[in-house]
Amino acid sequence: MRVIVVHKTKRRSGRITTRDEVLDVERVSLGRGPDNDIQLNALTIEYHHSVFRARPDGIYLERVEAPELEVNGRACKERRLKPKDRIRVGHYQLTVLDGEGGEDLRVSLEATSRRKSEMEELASRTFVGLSRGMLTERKLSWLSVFSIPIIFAGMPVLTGQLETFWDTGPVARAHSYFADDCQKCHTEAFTRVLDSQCLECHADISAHTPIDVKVVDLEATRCATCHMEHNGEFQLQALEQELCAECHSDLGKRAPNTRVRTVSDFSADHPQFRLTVPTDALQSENIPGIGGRRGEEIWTRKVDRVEWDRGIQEHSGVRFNHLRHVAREELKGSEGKLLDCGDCHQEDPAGKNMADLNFENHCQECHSLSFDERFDDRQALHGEADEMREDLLEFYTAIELRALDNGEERLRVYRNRVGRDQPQDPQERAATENAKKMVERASAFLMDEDKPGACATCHFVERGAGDDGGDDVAPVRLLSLWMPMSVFRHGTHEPFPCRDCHPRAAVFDPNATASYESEKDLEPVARARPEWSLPGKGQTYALYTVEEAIAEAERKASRKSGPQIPVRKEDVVSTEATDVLLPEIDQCKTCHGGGHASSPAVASECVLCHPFHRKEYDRMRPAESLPAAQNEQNPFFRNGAG
Amino acid sequence: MATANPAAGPRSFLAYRNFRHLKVALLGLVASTVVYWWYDPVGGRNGGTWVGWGLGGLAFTLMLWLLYFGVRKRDYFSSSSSLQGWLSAHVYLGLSLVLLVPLHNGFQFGWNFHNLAFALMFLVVVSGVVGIVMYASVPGQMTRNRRGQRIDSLFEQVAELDSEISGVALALPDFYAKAAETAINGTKIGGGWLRQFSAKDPNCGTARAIKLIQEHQEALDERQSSDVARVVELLGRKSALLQRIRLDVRYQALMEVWLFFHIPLAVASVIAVFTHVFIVFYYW
Repeated sequence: MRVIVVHKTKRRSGRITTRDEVLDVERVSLGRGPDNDIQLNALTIEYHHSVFRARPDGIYLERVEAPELEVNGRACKERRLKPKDRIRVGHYQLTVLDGEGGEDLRVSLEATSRRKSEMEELASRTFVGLSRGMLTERKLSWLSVFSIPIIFAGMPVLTGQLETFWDTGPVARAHSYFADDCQKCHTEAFTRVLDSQCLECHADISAHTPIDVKVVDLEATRCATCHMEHNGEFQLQALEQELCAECHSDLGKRAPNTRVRTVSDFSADHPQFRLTVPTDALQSENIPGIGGRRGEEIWTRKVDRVEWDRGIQEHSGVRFNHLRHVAREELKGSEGKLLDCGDCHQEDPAGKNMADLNFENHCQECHSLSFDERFDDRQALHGEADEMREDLLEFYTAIELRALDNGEERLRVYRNRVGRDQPQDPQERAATENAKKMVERASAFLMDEDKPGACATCHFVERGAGDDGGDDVAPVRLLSLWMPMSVFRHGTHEPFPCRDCHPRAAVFDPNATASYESEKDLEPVARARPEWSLPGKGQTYALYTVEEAIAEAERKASRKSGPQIPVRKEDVVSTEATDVLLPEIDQCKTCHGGGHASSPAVASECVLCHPFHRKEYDRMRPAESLPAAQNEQNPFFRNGAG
Repeated sequence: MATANPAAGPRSFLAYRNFRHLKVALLGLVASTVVYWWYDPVGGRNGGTWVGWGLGGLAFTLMLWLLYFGVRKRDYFSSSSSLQGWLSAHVYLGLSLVLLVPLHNGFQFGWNFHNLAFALMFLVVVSGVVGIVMYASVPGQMTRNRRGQRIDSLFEQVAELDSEISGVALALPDFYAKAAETAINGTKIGGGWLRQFSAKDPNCGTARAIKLIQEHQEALDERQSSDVARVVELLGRKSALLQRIRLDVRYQALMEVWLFFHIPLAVASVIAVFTHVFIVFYYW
């Protein structure tokens, strides 16, 4: 069999060159192997792929190792060839050509695709570099450009907390109930929150100064200067004392007429406390000219502010001796309890100050107002002396008249004539006269200052001062708020025993004798201190012994510079109601330091004790309501301080 | 003046002009900290005070300038100063943001949009630090791995081996031809991120071919046996080359990957800061 193979090669220029190969063999084999007549260089082609074989009816293509053949795009096992048949082996194509005479078969052989170099093949299978699809730096950057606004707008929706995602910080708890309603405060875009928005709710908030004292700087200050929102859940109030010191550190120069004293820091230059007292209830030998200083109408009572001083005496009109009351065995109450501080001194229910003391709640349990040994359970009225006697008269009259009762009808109609409306019955007249004598006797008993008469135990008797011409007791002016210009809460100081600040009132002395004649029959019962009065953890009502009180006073005195004065018993023990037992500033300073103090001192800014907004003054006005010109010119005081 | 050798890797730009930009950044931070401590406003130090605005404005300006580096580094004809100097400044001033921004906000952090801007900025810095670390450590390993050869040369060697394997395998029985075909066409370099970072291909054609041939039993004549031995030897050489190429691909990926975070996050943080400024003054 004679076969002509036309090798076609496509050059790079596109021109196709041909080369004829004449094979004169019995059969023509095709395959990868070098022993084939037509060798096809491709690893995927079988070693012995197929053969051309002559049969009686023509030339056949028969498979050898190939699983199947592909002729004219169809798969087959073998096929008789005719011109224009296309045989595909790997990437080779053989085409049966028309015979030119002399040969049995004429086929062309060509590679259908240009065989790539190994380097090109390798490159086509190499994927280096991280950029892929969306994963390029540029595309990711664009993605982030768009994703930020989406997060910005979408997160509030996603978390369900509208707009709080945009907060610069947590809203104060007091405002949290409208924290997701930004427009509540932020009414205008790109404009600071206006005071009027604050005052919409806080309409009654009061100013810092009286209405006639205009401090322009202060009026032009926005609420938010001191009350910064989005600055934490709990702190809505600026504590910085520099805000106060801006004016108060040289207030004397700024407002020469003011009585408010200059101060910049609690620890550095806070003056001694002043007591705000009714001017008629205080005497002092140590403060010259106090009687002449009558002043400002701040409270409803006439008051003055006097410097705290050891020599101050309070003339409240009441006799009282702490030493004779505290933890005294002979003064056991009805429940067998010894008196401690808390039996009389309790916080008012609002927890702001100590509650007022009064007879009914604090004295009556022990101090009986019985006036007649025959009527032991009967008590005189506590109040105005004339009313008390009126009450006694009714009591005795009823008793006298009842004594006349013989079972007849006693009610009779008096003729309504002036001077004639007296009982006509001589017996009755005698009975009422007797009742009046009984009243005089009872009154004299109660008001007796030499014996333990009930009134005179605690009060000073003024003879003939009553509205009815009878005896009366001196007026009582008990002061429960001595320093109204500051806020002090006993409750927050609860862990500390009373004696720390009020040492003179918290002394236990088993040998204390009565300071008043009327008490002298109450013999002191000497006993050891009760357990609750011993100093220790949680002993709120701990007491000093006299010796301890003296030692403590000496210890405190030794810390101060200057000449050391020996401490006497009467300096450390309160036996008189005239003693003013309030702590002085040094007592506060044992714990409290200035605004910038650090541990162990308690940092104490001005507003810790002195509220900025003063209830007694007029309402705040929004800063933005000030005329613009005033804001610009900004003099400190519009007119002198009052 | 230049003490650094431009070819000495990141050490050169970090130490550029005797750490000039490190000094500038530290000086800026010290000045900012002093101002921060000196100014103690009502309500505590925070972004809404004069100093807060000042430091915030400075930080934002700095961020925009740092972003401009992306433009500057492509400007090969600029003569303003060397790119190395720019990179040095970029690194140190970028790092300073980590302290500058907390000074701006008074160290107030929370789960809100404003801190998203900070978090993004922080991640940008972190990714930048990762970049510095990569530039410091990877090129040395890369050079050692290439053993003085160019990467193109390694590829050419693989291609030559392929060609040789193909030539020898043509004359071998079908099984070996198929194995050789697998070794050539079944070998891929690189691929997805994971493939590139792992520097391994569990489905590598070359490895598979070696395994196939080693496990195959077939009666061969002497010439064929010697050819098969030749193919196995070639495949072994190719495998070792591939290992080095794949390591090289990993090193390249390590040098590149931080930028996929650094750049998009930098853009995101600038957009976030812009939005932050807008919202803060909108709700003043």
